[in-house]
Amino acid sequence: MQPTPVDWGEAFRIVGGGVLVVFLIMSLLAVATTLMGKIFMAREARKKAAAIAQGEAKS
Amino acid sequence: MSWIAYHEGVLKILGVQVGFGNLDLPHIIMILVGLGFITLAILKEWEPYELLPIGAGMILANLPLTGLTSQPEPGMQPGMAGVLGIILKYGLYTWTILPQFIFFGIGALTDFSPLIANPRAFLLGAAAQVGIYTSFLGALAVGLIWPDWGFSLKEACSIGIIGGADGPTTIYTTGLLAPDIMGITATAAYSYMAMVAIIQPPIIKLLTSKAERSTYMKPTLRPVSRPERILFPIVAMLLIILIIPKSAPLVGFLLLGNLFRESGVVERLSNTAQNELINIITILLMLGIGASMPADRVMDPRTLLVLFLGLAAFCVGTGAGVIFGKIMSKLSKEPFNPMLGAAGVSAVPMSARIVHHMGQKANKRNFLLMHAMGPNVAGVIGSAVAGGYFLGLFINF
Repeated sequence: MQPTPVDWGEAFRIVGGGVLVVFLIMSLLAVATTLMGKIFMAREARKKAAAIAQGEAKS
Repeated sequence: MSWIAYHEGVLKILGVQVGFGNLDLPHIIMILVGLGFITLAILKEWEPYELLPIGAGMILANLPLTGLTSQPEPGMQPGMAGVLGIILKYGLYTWTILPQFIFFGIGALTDFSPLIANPRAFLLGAAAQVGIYTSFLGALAVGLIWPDWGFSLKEACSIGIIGGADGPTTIYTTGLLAPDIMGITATAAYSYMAMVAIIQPPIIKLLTSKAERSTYMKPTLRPVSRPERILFPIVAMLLIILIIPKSAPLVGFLLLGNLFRESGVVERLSNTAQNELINIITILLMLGIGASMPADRVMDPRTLLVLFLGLAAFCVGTGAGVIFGKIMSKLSKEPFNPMLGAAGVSAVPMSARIVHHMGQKANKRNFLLMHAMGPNVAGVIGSAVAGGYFLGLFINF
């Protein structure tokens, strides 16, 4: 454990980069998950609609 | 041989071979700290699965002359390495495989459905990582006030990561960047996780009004289909690792464990990861963490600074999450309780429970648990990403 002179420019670059990367990745994950959800919910809705339509056709 | 010479000889042997003769004050203090951890684990049930073996490891490592923490060296005679030294060397310092397998088990235990159903929780999980970076700067600023106690960039990263409130991420990151302070950062992370119920409520109350805390949200989230739950770990794994490759050991194992769980076709493997594997690794890892704290390494004024900066990281993370929650509350069309931001620190599931209880206290109709689990599990991913980012700066695998 030795004291080390701090390069504050680098330190703030690390912080800026870190915050940016975390928010970027989490935003991308949010977008990807939202899209995935929309696709699967639309598929579920189509399936349900088809099932209802089939049921009505039979009756 | 005279009577005096005989007794001098006996005393010499006792001085060399008997523990009592070799106990000094720093070791006694560390043994007492270890006993304190065990007491908290048993009487208060504070993170018992972690604090009990950490306390036991701490005691064993500080008992003199045991040789338990002797690490294997080339040319060492057989049997000379101690079991804790072997765990430390191969599990934590050289191979660093234990935290990854803990993450594997956590992945198998985690249900990401609340996050998949409410993807904006990802942003709350990101906001709560701000504490990591403020404590990173704080650790570097120590050198301005006390030049002899200053921290290097790598040490500052390791201290900051405590704010992620994620034990395995803290252990893995510190093990690679600053192994000398690994024991204390890991202990700080687990201790603060155990104290979530004490640390978070005052910060949440300070930053929110009663009206905000009582904001009612529908108790249920949309159901998440099985294909979504299977695709999520795959998509997330690819996306995160392609941006931050050094997060692969943590994120990769977390999401691999989750894929085992959600696939539904490897139930035995998933069950093993959730039970036997994570239990065995927890024993080894926590004993190793305790053993990494011999008195000569921990009895340093900088240890107190590490504990303080870690606590600050945790508090700032909670605050940043709540402030971001307030922003989301203003922008959201539907009612949004800003307290949910506090669950973005990845102390799973304690932070989520705290938010839920505080929500119910403010408004009995509120049932925020499922809403809070989203940012909570997002925080696990967020802190692993932050750890991977730090590793990417300094480590070339």
